[in-house]
Amino acid sequence: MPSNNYYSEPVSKQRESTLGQYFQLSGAWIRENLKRFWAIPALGMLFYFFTFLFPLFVEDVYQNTESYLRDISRFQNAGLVLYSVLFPLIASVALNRYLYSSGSVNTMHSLPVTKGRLWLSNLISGLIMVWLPGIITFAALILGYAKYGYSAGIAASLGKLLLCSAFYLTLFNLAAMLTGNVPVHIIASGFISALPAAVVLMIIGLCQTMVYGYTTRGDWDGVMLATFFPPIAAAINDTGVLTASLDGWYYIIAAVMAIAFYFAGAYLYSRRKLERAGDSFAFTFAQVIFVSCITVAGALILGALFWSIWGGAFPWNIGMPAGGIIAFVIAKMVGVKSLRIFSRRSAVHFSLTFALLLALLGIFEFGAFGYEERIPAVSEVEEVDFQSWNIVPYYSVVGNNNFITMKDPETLEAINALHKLLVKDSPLITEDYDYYQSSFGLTLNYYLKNGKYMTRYYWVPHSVLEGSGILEQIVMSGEYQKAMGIENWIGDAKIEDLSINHWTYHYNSSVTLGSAEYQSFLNALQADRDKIDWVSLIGQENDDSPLFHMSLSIDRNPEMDTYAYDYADVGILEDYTNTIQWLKDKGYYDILTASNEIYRGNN
Amino acid sequence: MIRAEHLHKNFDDFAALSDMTINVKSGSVYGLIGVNGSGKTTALKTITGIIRPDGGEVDFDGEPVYENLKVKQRMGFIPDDLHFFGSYTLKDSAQFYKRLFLRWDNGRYREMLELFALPESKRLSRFSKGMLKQAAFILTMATKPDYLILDEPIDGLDPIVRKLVWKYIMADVAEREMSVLVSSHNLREMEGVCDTVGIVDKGRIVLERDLDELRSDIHKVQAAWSKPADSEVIGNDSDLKILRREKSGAVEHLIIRANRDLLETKIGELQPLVFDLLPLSLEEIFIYELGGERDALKQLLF
Repeated sequence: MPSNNYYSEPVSKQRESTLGQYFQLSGAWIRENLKRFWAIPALGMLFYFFTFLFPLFVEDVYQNTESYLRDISRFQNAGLVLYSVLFPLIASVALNRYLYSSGSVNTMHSLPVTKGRLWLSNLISGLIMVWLPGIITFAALILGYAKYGYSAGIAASLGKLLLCSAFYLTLFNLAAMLTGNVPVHIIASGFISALPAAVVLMIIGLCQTMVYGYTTRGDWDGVMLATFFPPIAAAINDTGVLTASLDGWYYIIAAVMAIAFYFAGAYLYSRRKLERAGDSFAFTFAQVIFVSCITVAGALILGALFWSIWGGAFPWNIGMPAGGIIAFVIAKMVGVKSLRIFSRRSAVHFSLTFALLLALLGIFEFGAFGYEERIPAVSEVEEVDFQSWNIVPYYSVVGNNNFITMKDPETLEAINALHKLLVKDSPLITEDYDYYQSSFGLTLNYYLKNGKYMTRYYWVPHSVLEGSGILEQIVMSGEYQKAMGIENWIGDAKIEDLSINHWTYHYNSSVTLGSAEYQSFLNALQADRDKIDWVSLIGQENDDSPLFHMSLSIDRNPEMDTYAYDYADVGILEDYTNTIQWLKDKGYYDILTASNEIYRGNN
Repeated sequence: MIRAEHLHKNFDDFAALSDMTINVKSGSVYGLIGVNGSGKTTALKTITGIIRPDGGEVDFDGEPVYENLKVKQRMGFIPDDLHFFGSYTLKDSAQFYKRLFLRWDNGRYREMLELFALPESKRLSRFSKGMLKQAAFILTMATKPDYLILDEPIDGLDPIVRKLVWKYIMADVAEREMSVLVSSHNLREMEGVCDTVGIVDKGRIVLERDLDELRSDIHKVQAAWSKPADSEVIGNDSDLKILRREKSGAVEHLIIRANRDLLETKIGELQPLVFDLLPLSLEEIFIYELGGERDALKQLLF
């Protein structure tokens, strides 16, 4: 019998339970992990030093100390987000790599440490490696910059950082249990991050489409935030409308999901066949799901890509299946880690996946849910946010793509007629188009009386609407005209500077406008815009450039519900005689000279 | 005692283990012999609890091995494809083993380190294959295992080190009743160290024999008979099973399965002119035992 007293007695029949082992730690293992992977926290410290501490010490940035601290206290620094995803991934790959080669897995699992202890000990090791640099850095920030008064916020950000890191570490560890080598582990980590959101969104989207007929953006965003990037989304959008009231819940959700990932990973580890070290996937079901999802996603992406490259020669109902076949072959090769994928099992897998793909194609092709053709009746609509892009080139201001809220029943009737026309002519809309010549973008956001929200986006060739008069009716409506009027986008704001620029020739010149002059300038500009022939403007080719552009530095009209620009950009057409005369009268010859030179050069 | 009963293990459609049964008695050495791909390594990984069998049971002194910390504390496994942490030295590895194995014997580690003359502070990644084997052996033996499982242990070792390795193993077998399960693809290497040999082919044990019993049962006889009829007398004796006989002039060579004392008595009664019992190699024993017909044995021997 053994000479050593320890365990010299017969081995007890009592055996530790498997579940219990997943709550036991191995201090020796944690210590060993930290000794082996000390470079990860060291790298983390370097990351923090160059991301946060070093900029604070640099003289020209030093003046922005408060700004830095504010961003950190709001978790709005991109470095924090990057760190809380990237370093857990590095740690997860390092700690789980032993599972990916036969030699290491044999050695590790012949040692006196159970899977359960390994699992928990590796997680704790990873958390220490990932958390330690953040704790040290944030503690230094709190101690060193307490006078700025952001200590509580920074401490809260640290809490968020720790939670985010834990969330991703458990998620990536879960991915490690499904996979059998490093590249697929990394791919699967990203894949799992997106998969829950994709599935939930698809289910909710289909349900809403079938049950309600409309999408409700609030629900979608909520699902997206709760499943895709819960901690990050919640943290980044501290001031966002959606997250403001749900902030705390997202962290609870993230914590619950991290725990769920932990147990799911532990279960998979207990079931994992260690002999599959080096394979792409440790479980056949994971390989099947991966290949099927990549096939469907690849079909959509490659189908769109083929269509965008070859247009009508490669319609999407051909491009999508073709893309699906390509994606399946590639994904299968990755999945089975071999070029030899043509087997009976693969054929069955391919058939089932392709059947799913064709079903999706059929849904899109034949409008199975009638989603594309569903147009709310005027009586159902509360209001519509109408956004046109390039519908009337060079007339609109500030990028001419503002949303204009339409409530007037007559305008809503016109929008309804326009929408019906677009749906009726949808084959034309999906034809190849020329972005610069004869098309415009259109977004219709319907707010319905039943509280639902519906949005549709189209890219419309002008030829579809030619002769219908519907677009002219909308553009000439009081609501549209008011939104486009000078008084709406300038209001009581004071114009201080005028500048001229020509995008093609990269020319610009500016003058300071006297306080007494700006009203007369606005009058002249308004007079020119009043005489515009709208009908001739609609459908104008996009490369008919204005004579020149004028940028007006303004105090933004606070009542204007649009982008927060502090300037307005106006295209000055050749027949803007009042504006040009005003510039001559005021002696701003340099602007005119420049424009003439540009004009001559342009012709 | 290591007991593996009716082990089954499939890798997809390939049956790596097929109803394999192995029993290693306490204080004995069991040689698992088979050609490459016969299932030896899978058997060892299953027995050590690294992989879970699809069917069958493994226990060490009645205690199941899979995920069992207590058994693994008493078990040492040296795989064929060795693995050490990349940047570690032998000293680092020893510290690691010391923290993990409660029975770590530092004195023994020091003693073996000196004997094998390995550099303790050199990175293991710079060791040769033979040095790595020695390092693994030192670390494993310093944990004082009750069960030692070795996969192709002497590959890459020079003859002197081989002797040293076996000396240590045999000492533990004798002094501490350590159970040893060792795999090899070469029957000759197992001769002289194994108490029991199992030949594995296509995932199952096709032959298992206690070598002492085997040696005491099969004998190579060289005899010259005083009367020609004596040869027939021996051949017709129901207590002596003649496995093979060859005649070269007056001298006859026989392979006979029988109890040694009985054999000596029976032949002695005939008063042959010449009577010698010649030593049999393990190879010869298996050839005569199986009649040289089995594919597995042919591949092992030729």
